[in-house]
Amino acid sequence: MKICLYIFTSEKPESPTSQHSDNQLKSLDSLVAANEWLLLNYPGGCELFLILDEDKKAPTSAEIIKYLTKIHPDFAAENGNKKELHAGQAVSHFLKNVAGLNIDATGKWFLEPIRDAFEQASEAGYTGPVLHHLFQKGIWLHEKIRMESSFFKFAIHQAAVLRELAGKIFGSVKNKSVHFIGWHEDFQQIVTELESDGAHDFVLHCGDVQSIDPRVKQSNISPVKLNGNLETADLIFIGAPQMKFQLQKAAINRRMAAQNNSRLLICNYSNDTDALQNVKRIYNVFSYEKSELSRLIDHNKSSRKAILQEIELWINEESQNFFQWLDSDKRFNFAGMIGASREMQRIFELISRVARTNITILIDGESGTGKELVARAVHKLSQRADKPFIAVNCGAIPENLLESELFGHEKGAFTGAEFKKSGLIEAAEGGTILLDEIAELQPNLQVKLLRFLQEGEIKHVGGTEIHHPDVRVLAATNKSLADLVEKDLFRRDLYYRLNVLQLTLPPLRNRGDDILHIAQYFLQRINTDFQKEVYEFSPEAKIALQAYSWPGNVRELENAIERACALAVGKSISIYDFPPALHAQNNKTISTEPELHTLKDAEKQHIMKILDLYNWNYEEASKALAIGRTTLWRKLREYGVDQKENQ
Amino acid sequence: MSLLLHWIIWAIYAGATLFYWRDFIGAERKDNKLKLNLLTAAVILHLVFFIYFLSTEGRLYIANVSEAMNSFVLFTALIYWLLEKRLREPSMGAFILPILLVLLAISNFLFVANPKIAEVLHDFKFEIHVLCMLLSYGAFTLSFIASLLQYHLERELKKLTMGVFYTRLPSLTFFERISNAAVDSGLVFAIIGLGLGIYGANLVWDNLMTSDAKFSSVLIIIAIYGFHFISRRLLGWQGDRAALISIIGFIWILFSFLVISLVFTTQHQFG
Repeated sequence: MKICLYIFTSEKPESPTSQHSDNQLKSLDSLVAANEWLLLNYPGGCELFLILDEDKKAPTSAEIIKYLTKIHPDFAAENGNKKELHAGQAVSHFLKNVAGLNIDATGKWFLEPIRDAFEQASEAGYTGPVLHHLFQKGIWLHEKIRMESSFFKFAIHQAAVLRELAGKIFGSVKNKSVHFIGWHEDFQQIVTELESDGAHDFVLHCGDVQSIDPRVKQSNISPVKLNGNLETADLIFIGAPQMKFQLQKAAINRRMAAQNNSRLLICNYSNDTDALQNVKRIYNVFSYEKSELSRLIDHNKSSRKAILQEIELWINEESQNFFQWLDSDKRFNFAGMIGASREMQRIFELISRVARTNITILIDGESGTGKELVARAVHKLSQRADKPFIAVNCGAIPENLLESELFGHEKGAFTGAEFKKSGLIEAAEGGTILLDEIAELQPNLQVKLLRFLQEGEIKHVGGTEIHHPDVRVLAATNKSLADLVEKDLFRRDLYYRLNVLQLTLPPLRNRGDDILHIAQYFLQRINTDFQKEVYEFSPEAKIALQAYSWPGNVRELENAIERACALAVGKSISIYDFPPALHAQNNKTISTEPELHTLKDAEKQHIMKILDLYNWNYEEASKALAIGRTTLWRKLREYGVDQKENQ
Repeated sequence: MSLLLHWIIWAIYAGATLFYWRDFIGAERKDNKLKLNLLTAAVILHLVFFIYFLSTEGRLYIANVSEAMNSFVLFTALIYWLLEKRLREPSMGAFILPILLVLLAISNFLFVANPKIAEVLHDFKFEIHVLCMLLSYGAFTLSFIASLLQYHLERELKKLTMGVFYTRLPSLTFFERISNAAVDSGLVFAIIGLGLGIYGANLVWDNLMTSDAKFSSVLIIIAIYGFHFISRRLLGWQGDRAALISIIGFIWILFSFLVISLVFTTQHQFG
C-alpha cells in the first residue's frame, strides 16, 4: 500500500477549498482514483490523504492542485504553500491530526473538522479499512494523551488561557459574575469558555443599550447602561476600543467593600493602556492587559512542547504498529474482533473512544454476536490491560451461589462455607469484570451490584467489613433491558447505572462482507487445529454463507465452518459440506422471495423460515431465533399465524 | 531496635519525599501512585510503632523532645495523607515532607533509649494536653505550607511570571481554604491544650505558669492565629495578608521552640 498526504496552506485564514458538495467529492473521487481517501478542510489549509495500491504511481502535488482546482475553481489562486508527506511521515501526521495535536491557523484542533470530514467520506464510501483503522488509532491516542498526560490541560487560545487564569485565581468560575465594559469581538469566545466552566451571570455595561451588537442580544448577556455599578462583579473585562475609558478607583473600592475584599480579576481589551492605571494597586485585584496574556500562551506552548517529546514516541509506536498491521493478514481485525462493515467500524470507533475511560458499558446484541469479545477489546485497550479480565455468566450460576461467587463470603456464612473466600469482583482487582447475561441477575443481587456501582463498596456474604475493589464493570445481555425495566423485572436505577454507554452489536446477517472475512478467519484457524489444507470456499459456498440468516450469529458460523472443514475433500469447501440448514436456505434464495415492505414483514418471514426449517418445533425454533418460547408464540399470534394449522 | 525502626521509617519518608519532588519539578505532571504508596507505607509503619509503644509502655510517645517531635511528624504526616487522599492534590507533599523529614532526623539524633519519665507524664490529662498541642502544631504547619505556596502563587499570578509553581499548583482558593481550615482547627486544639496545660501545671507546680516561657509562647501563638481568624472574618483580610499572618505564626512557633529548648532548659520540667 502507498500512503500519501498532500498539505496545502494559505496565508488567508479561510479554508482554500471550503466545504464541498457530495457531487464535488464524487468528481474528486474519480480524479484521484485511490483505494481510500480523505479530504480535510480547516481555516487556512486543506489536506488530502490517499491510500493507493503499491503498483500505482502516487500523484504529484501539482496534479493534486489540478484536481482540486477542477472541483474548486479558486483553489490554485488561494493556496500558497504545499507539502508532500509519504508513508510513515504521512501516517504520523494523520494520527496527530486525529489525536488533536495539530492546530490550524486560528489555534483550534483539527479534531472536529477531521471527524466531520471522516463522517462525510465514510458515508459516501471513500474510506475503507485502512483509514478506519488509522482513525480509530488516532481517537485511541487522543484519549491516551488526554488521560495520561497534561498536554491538553495547557490552554493555547486567548479565551481558554483566560479561563485557566481565572481558574488559578478563583478555583472555579462557577456562579461568578462577569462584567463587560463596552464590547470587544473577543468577548463572545470568553463568554463561551467561562460559561462552560459554570459562570452564569454576564453583564454588559454600554453607553446605549439599544445599539448593541445583535449577536450580543441573542446571547445570555444582560445589557445595562454604563453607570459605574460593579459591586457584584468577580471578573471585569474592558472592551470599548474606541472610547477613552478609565476604570474608577471608587467603583472598584465599592465593589471590594461590598464583597469582603474577595478577589477580582480585571482584563483590559481596549486600546487604552491607561484604563487600569487607577486600580492596579488595590488589594486583591488581579489586573492584566490583553497583550500580557500572550506570555501565558507562550508559557503553555513551551509546556506542551516539553511533553510532546514523550507523545511523539507514542505516535511513532502506533505508526509502526500500523505498518505491521498493514503487512499482516489482520487487516479486518480490531483487538481480536473481525469486521469491515460500517456497523462494526462504528463499534470499533466507540471502543477506541471509551476504552481508556472507566465508564460502565452495557453491551447488547443477539446471542453469539461477540459481546465477550467486545468486552475483552475494551479491557485490552484500557489502562487496565495488564490486570485481570474476568467474565461471569450470571445466567449459568445458581442464584444463591452467584452472590458468594461475585461478592465473596466469610467463614461460616452458610453451610459449607468452611473458609473465607474473596469474590470474583475482588479477584478482578485493578482490572475488568464482565457480567454476562446481566438480565438474569436476581433482584437482591441487583441491589448489591447497584451499591457497588454507585459507592464502589461490597460486603462479603455474612460479613460486615466493607471492601472497595477498583474494578471496571462491563455488562452484557441478549435481552432488551429497557423492556425488562418496563415490566419491573429489572431495576430502573441499575439499568441507568449500567447503561452509561450502550454498544449494540449488529447480528451477523446485517454485517455484509464481514461474514466472508470471519469465515475465512475461522477457516484458517480450524485448518491449523485439524491439520488440514482447506484454503477457500467454492463460489456456491460463498453465496450460501451470505444468503443464510445466521440466527446463531458468529457462534453458528464458527460451528458451520468447523463442520465444513472437517467434511471438506480437497482444498476448498463446497456447499454440501455445510449443515443442511444452509442448503435449505440456499435453495430458497434461488426461488423468488416475496416482496418485503416493513421490518415486521422481514421478521415474520424470518420466523416462518426458521419454523419451516425445524418442522415447526417451537422449542428448537425459539432456540435458533434466540428468543423465548413465549415470545415466539406471542409473535405468531401477532402475525395472525394459525399455529395449529401449520403444525 | 527502636532506633533502627525510626531510621527505617525515616528512610521510607525520604523515599516518598524524593518522588514528590521528582513529580513536582518534572516536565509532565504525573499521577504517580508510587509516591502516595510510599507515604502510606511510612505513615502506617509509624502509626503501628506509635500504637505498639502505647500498648507495651502504657503511655503515649511524647515524654521528651525526641518523642514529641517524632509524634508530631506522625500526626502531621497523617493529617496531610488524609488531606491528599480526599483532595487528590499532591503538590503540598513536596514541601511538607522535607520539613517532616528534617524534624524526624533531629528526633532520631536526640533519641534516648528507656528515658526516665516523671510520674505526672503518665497522667491521662497531661497526655491529652501534649496530644492537643502536637495536633495544633501539625495543623499550623499545614497552614504554613499552604500559605507559603499561596503567597508565592499570588506573586506569580500578579506579575504573570509563570514558573513551575504556576504550572503545578492548583488555585489560590484551594490553598486559602486549606490554610483557613488548618488555622481554625489548630486554634481549637491549641486552646484545649493550653487549658489542660494550665490545669495540669496548677497541680504540679502549685503556682500559675506566668514565669513559664512555653506558656507565654503558646499564648502568643494563640494570639497570632486568633488574629488570623478575626481578621478574616471582621476585616475581610484574604489572600496574601492572611497568608502572611500564618507564615509569621509558624516562624514564631519554630523560633520559640528553638529558644525554649536551648535557653530556658530549666523551665517546663516535671521531674
